Amino acid sequence: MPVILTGNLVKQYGKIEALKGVSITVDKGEIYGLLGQNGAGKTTLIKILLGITKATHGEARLLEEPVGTTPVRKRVGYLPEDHRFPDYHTGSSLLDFYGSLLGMKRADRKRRIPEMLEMVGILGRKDYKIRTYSKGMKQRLGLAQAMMHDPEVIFLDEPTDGVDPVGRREIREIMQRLRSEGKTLFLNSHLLSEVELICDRVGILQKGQMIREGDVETLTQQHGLFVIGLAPGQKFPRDDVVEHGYSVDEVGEFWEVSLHACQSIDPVVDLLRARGLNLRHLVEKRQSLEDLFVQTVEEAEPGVDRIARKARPASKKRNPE
Amino acid sequence: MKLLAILRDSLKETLDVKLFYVMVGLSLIVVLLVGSITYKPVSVQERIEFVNKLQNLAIRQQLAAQPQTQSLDFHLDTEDFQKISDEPEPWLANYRFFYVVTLSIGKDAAKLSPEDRKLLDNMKDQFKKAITAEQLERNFHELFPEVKVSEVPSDNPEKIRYEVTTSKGTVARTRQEWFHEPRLFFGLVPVPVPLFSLNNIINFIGDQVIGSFGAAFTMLISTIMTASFIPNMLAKGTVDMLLVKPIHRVTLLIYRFLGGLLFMFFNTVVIMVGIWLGLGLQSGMWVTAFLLCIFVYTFQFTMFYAVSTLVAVLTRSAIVCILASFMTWGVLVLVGWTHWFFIEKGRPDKPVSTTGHWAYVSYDAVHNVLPRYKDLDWLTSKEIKRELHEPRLATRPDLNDPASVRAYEQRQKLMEAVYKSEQEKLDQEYGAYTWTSSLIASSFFIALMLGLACWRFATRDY
Repeated sequence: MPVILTGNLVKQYGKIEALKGVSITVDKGEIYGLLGQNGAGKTTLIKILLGITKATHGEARLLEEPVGTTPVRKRVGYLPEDHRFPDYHTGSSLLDFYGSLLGMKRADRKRRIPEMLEMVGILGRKDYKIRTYSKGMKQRLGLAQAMMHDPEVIFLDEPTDGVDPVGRREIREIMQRLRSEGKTLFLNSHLLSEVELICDRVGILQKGQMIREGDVETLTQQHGLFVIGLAPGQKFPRDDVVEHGYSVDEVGEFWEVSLHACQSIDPVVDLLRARGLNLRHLVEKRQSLEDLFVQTVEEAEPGVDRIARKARPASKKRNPE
Repeated sequence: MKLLAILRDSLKETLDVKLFYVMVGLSLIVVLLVGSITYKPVSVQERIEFVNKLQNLAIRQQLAAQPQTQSLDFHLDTEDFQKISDEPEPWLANYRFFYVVTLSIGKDAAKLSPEDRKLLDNMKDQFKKAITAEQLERNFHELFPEVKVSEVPSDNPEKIRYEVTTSKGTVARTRQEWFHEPRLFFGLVPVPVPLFSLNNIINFIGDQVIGSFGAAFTMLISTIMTASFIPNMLAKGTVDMLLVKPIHRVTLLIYRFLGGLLFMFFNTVVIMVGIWLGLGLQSGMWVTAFLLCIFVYTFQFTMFYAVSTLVAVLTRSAIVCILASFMTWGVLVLVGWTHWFFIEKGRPDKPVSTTGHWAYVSYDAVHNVLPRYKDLDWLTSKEIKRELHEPRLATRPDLNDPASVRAYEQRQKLMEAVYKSEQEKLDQEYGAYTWTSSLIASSFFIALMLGLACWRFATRDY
């Protein structure tokens, strides 16, 4: 049974439809990334799953129970995007307070608090008031409180927001560790490179609709586009390859060869060998998640002006990875 | 455990606000100030001389107002004041003294002109006719139940002398009924007020100063301080983290509400217990009705805090909560006062055309529906006064002495009669207000406000 399940979820705020029939499924042990532009409905979806907001129509189940029930909430952790901790608390007293609300016993809280703070790297500041914490430290504390009661599902809304690169890496490692422990993570982030690195599956939400969903590996694969690199000083026989019916683009020191229907890359490799050229690089090109996201969003809304994006260099001009 | 966690959280929030320490400091100052007031019983001579001073002032003003008496000087004095019984308490002892009336023109008696002499003799005759020994005796009965006054010859032609002898102590039967002089800072600074009985002084400090100004100040600060508790909890980014915890929304709101009430309760406990101890230790009067104020003030605060909670759920703004609380406070005080003044005061004497008028009936109904802030104030004052007037005896009778027992019983009867009469006065003034109706109407209002707040909080999307 899936850990998170929604079916045709609709949420209306007056005349505005924030979610238009969203259906997702997340299995146990998965890290699911929810992508979308600002206002796409990501936070609304998370809030419905957590029982903070009620759906207008549709089904939402968490851990095989209806969302928002007290037993379910005991098994869920959450780090909201724009969290605001009461700054009269210290890091330690805040975890103690939340632990008490979660129904944790005093002994358990006493044991877990230093463990959690150490895991997120702020144990040394446990007795300092939160108002003295930097944004990154507050983010780490937020992660600690989400994991405090060892929940089965953790919802993280922009968990690396305001965190430095080293911290981001540490948070990534924590997420991987949680996955290895069998926890399910529901991640909402604008840092698509982070999502690409950590998530098993992603869904792209656009104006309240799930426009694309699948595992990262499959979604980012680009069939029929190969990147070729030759030994230094050797010239790529572009005209000959084009004569064979392929499209060729020069991208820096590399050449991108596009295959048309029923074509294979093998004739190109044979041609290069026949010319005595030394092949140094040959990979099937993958799309970055960011490219996929932009492309998907733009396809979903053809004809919409996006000045900022059009001014940006096209994905083809990027160096291949 | 969750309740304790939320109460602890409220306490942390309170301790984080600087205004709290200002309030604690001011409360301590008030408690210390009240505790530093000493109450010295005045002697009977001091009491009579105090009255003489007032009378001298009044008569001199009268004389100065008439052209023919402007040159006259007048004053009342006591001479040769003696205690003639063994009772240590001044109010129980008997005295003999001379009450001396001096009328002069401010010149040496030998140098008086015949006109001056004539004016003086004329005034003395007028005084003697107006104030006879019997009249003075009746005047002294205000202080002495048994007193004998007789005119005695005087060596000085400007003086009229009366010998006054008391035989059954004073009208005060206990210490609290006797006149005392309050002094601040453990007797260092006299309070410039007229001499009042200890009862009246304690009532003034406890009921008027602390009950009115103190309670208003405490409520003002508590309202400001606790107004942010619920809006802070409902702030974006904070409420999300609480709503995902396994605790019902209504429970969360009610616990937070209790946190605010506890703040007021503890604050009032500190102030009222401190004042009760201070007054009790210094005056020997342990008025337990002062402790009733703790619960009454907290209950009154609950009315505003329930409104504040509803407004917090609707607006999430501490400023709007404070304004709404103060507005409620103002409306309730206004309705309470005006209802007492226009409706309740002298209700039995009002004609049916007035009491049956639609405006009269409507205003009465408005008062009945709204929480009874002022009624509770008056009921508390009534309880304090009731306790202060309760019959108390300073000395126990010697059971082997029948005369002493008889005297004790007589005093007891007299005190009970005074007590009954005081109660009748209180009932006449505030008899229409009862604890039951006031508490029920107020509780209903609180429940309504809280119910609406809980319903909105439970159904709202965050």
